[in-house]
Amino acid sequence: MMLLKKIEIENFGPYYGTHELEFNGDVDELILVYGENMAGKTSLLNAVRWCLYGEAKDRAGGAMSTRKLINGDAWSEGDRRASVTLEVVDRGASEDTAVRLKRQRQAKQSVADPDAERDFTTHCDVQVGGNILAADKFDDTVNSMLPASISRFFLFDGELLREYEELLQEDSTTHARHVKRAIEMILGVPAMQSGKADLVHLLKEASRAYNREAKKHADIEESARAEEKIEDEIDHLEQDLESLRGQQEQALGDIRRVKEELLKHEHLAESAKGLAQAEERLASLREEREEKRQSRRDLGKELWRDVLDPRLKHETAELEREQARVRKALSEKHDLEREKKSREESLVASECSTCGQPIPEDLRLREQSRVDKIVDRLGQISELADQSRLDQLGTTIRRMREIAPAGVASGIKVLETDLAQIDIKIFKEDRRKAEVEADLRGVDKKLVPDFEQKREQLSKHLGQVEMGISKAEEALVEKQNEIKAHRQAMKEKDEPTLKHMRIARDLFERSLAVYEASVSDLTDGLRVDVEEQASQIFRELTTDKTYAGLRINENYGLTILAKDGSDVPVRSAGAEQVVALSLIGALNRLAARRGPVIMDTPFGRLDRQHRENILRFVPTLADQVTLLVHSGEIDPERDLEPIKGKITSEVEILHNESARSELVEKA
Amino acid sequence: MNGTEPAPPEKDLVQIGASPASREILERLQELGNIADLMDGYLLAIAVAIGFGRKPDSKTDSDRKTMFAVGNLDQDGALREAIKEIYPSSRDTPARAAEDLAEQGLMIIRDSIQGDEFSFTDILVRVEKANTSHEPGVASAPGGA
Repeated sequence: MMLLKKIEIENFGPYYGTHELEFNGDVDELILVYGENMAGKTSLLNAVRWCLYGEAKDRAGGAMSTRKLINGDAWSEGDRRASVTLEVVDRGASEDTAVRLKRQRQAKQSVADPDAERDFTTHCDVQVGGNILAADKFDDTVNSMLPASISRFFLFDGELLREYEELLQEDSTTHARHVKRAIEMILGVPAMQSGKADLVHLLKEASRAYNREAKKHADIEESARAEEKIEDEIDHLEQDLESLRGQQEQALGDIRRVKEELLKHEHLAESAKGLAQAEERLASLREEREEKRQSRRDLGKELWRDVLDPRLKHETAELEREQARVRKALSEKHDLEREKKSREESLVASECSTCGQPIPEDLRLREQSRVDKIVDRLGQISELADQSRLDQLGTTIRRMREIAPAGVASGIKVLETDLAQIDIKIFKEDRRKAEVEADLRGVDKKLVPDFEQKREQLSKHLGQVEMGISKAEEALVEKQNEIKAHRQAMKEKDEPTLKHMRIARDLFERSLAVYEASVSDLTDGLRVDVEEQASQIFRELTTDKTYAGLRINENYGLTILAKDGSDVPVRSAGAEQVVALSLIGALNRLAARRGPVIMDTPFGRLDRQHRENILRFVPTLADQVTLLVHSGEIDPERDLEPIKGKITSEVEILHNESARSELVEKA
Repeated sequence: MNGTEPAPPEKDLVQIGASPASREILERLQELGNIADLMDGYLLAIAVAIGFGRKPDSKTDSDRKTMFAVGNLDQDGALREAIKEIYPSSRDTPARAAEDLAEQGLMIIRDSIQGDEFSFTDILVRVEKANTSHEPGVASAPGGA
């Protein structure tokens, strides 16, 4: 059992300089570390993970680069290294052994601007029981206490609990198979499987020895050769399978690395996409603007007519009024001239043309007066009553009317309103584009597409490899059945001199069958144990009393069961977290190896009642539990009351400056 | 006879143009994408000046370079006819009057160019305001003449 004594961090993440977190190094230890977001809680978890396994994870579960791990202030000051030292107790059956592990990573002196992993070197120190061991014993020492493959059950981020959901899928994913393998490892199944491999090897040796001898006997030589051939085929298939599994591991590792790179450049992918979209929108807006400008230019050709129109209308109205006056004057002139002529004719005659009576003098005088008046009036209107002016006015008015308004002004106004709006859109889009371009400055724009292409290729390759594995496994089962049948047939006709060899071979064969059945029974039993333990924990943790427990599947995925034994198909994010914690709790109780649990932000998705239940449960989860929590998750005054007596120490992460955090023990 | 001969009637222009400053404005309008041809801007400038109630004033700028044949600018003679009626004093020289008006109109247009922007709407609004604020035909020429 591994227990933490001290964590010493230097220039790691937000921790500038050296900081320590001390533990009692004993069982029943519960440490609460408080820190707000970005203060350095995850960095603390990462420090432990990094020291043990050389890998720190970011929020997305990807590996963090060394450059990002080293504290920014220290880096600026030229101190380009980070280190983490763990002092642990390896508690054995009879005695405790003190183990000290130190991992340091630093930039190479020869590199001016270190960034890539190759620009850094690693130094590992390991001391066991006060003895300094060779650096290459570092991993062995760690694996003997807490192998990386089971570390997920001890060092975990609340957000990463979701990976257990994949275990529920009937058609298990590669990732789920890995988790399953890790679960079996923590339960000690691989040790049993190693035993099986040893028996298989012994069986093969015995079988080969038998066949070598059998070939010397003419009557069974042929059968022996045939069996040897099948054995060779089995060997080849096993080699193929091993090679394919190696390729599978390689491909999975490559895919993980590519995914990490993609995650690292996720914002770049978004920026690149944003830039492409901005450019597309800008091109479309500019095209639209040019179309509208062209329409405006077309309409603009005739705009002068609309501008001129009010003035022309006014002038035409004036001319029309004059035309009316001239026309009226001409008409009056015509009437007056006719009257004048008639009256002058009357004055010339001495008697009335109608009655023949002589015209009286007073009447003649009145007529003369009227004629004089007509002459006066004609004189007054003679200038106005100008027929040529009337004709000229008519022509002018007609020509003025010909300059008809083009009626384009309103269209131009609409176009210009549209153009103003387009200009605003272009301005905004240009600004957006400039921001994205600033973000992408100096970045290879092909980086993300290249990684995406690589991921696609790798996924395709992985699919082919997995299909190959499946075929090889099928072929292997077929050949193994074939060889069993063959051995059975040979048994009936073998020579007495071969009997002892056959018995030896049969012994291994039967032992193997017994062993396989035992491993199967063990894993089935373990699965039942996990189900029982997880169900028990689940009932303690859940607030929904309609839930009866959990049912385990082949992959160790857990389904919630209702009281009537039916599956509960839909579960909330909070319920998922409770199920995952139940599984982890069960695995820790049944684990072949035990270690300290460090949980980062474990209550993020939980309501108050669940939080209280889990807090009560946490001290029983492992011998040593460290909770990294923020104020939004836990209210120390209210939530910690039920476990007050179980908390052994409380530490606060103070985050005073942007790149600096420190660990302060709470009074 | 008083010994002085009457001034010979002024001859009208066959080709009309603009001062360098006015031509620059026309080219700016073209550069900004508002007009396809300089002639479109020239016609607009004449209309704007008339709309603003300006009167032909041959003294505005004597350093003018010819740009267009009058026959091309006003193919059906409608514009000259309008000028003759609006400005009876220019009845014999409508092309010359058009040139004077274009010069003034372009100066009005220049005030509507803001940076890299010129909007017809702005000039239409200004003409509309000018039309409602004066009695066409009686407005004064630049400088209150």
